[in-house]
Amino acid sequence: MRAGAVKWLSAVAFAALIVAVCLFRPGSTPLLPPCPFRALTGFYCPGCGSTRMLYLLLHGQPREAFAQNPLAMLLLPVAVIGLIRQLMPGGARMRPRTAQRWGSVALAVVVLFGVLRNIPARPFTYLAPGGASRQFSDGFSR
Amino acid sequence: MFCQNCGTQNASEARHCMQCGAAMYGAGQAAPPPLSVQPTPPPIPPPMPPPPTFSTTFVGPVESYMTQAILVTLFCCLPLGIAAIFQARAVDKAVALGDMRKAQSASNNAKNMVIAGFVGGLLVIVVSVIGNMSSSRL
Repeated sequence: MRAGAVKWLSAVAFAALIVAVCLFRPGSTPLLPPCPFRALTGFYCPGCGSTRMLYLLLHGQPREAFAQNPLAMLLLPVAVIGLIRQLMPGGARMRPRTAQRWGSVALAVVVLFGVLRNIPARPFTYLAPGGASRQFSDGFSR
Repeated sequence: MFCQNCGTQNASEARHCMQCGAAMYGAGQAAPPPLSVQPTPPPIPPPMPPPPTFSTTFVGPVESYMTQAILVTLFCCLPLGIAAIFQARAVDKAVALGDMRKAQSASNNAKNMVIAGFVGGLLVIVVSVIGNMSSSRL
């Protein structure tokens, strides 16, 4: 598969996810299945709650969205800008100059986040899906 | 010294741009011809730099697929996403060191992992839809 196809396909897939989240509530449709990693292992993965995060964010509940997956919410603008940058002609020039370090930082943060949110003790439970929200809005279970 | 491809400032002895990986040329070669005082015809665009000689497969900046790797980690398939972030990091590292062959192979790895993660995510949806259809029929 050519690199250009991968870039377009990923942008289309992400757009499809946004459309799906606008139309359906995660958990109410088989089109937005629960995390397979959680279903298999019982542990939260770094991405657990990110679809619910997208759903809540697009339905005007940024606080609840943040509680579902803080990391995904913080990475969302990075991903959107990255997708736009890749598709723009000459977009590579807009690359931040610290690009080399980004990879190591992203790797460390994602792995650390995935480990910490599984610790069933007070400060870390805020990282688990729904952890920082007072009520479990929209009936999303933990 | 500035990269002719992307404009990033690099060390004067750099052989490849640390940002985009394009080959760098000496200051003498890179400098545009001095402007003459007489009225001149519109400036001719500088000739394209010769293709790099270190690798025959390298064309243009190497893509790291970091964006796709992060998206796969968050929305598709965790182990492949993490592995893809690891490969994307290797791409940027190899580009910084000027090892374009290594960068290209890591870029291919990252691309394949991203595609596999995407297909894995699609498979989960397909299984979920089929499972839902068969259970609702009961």
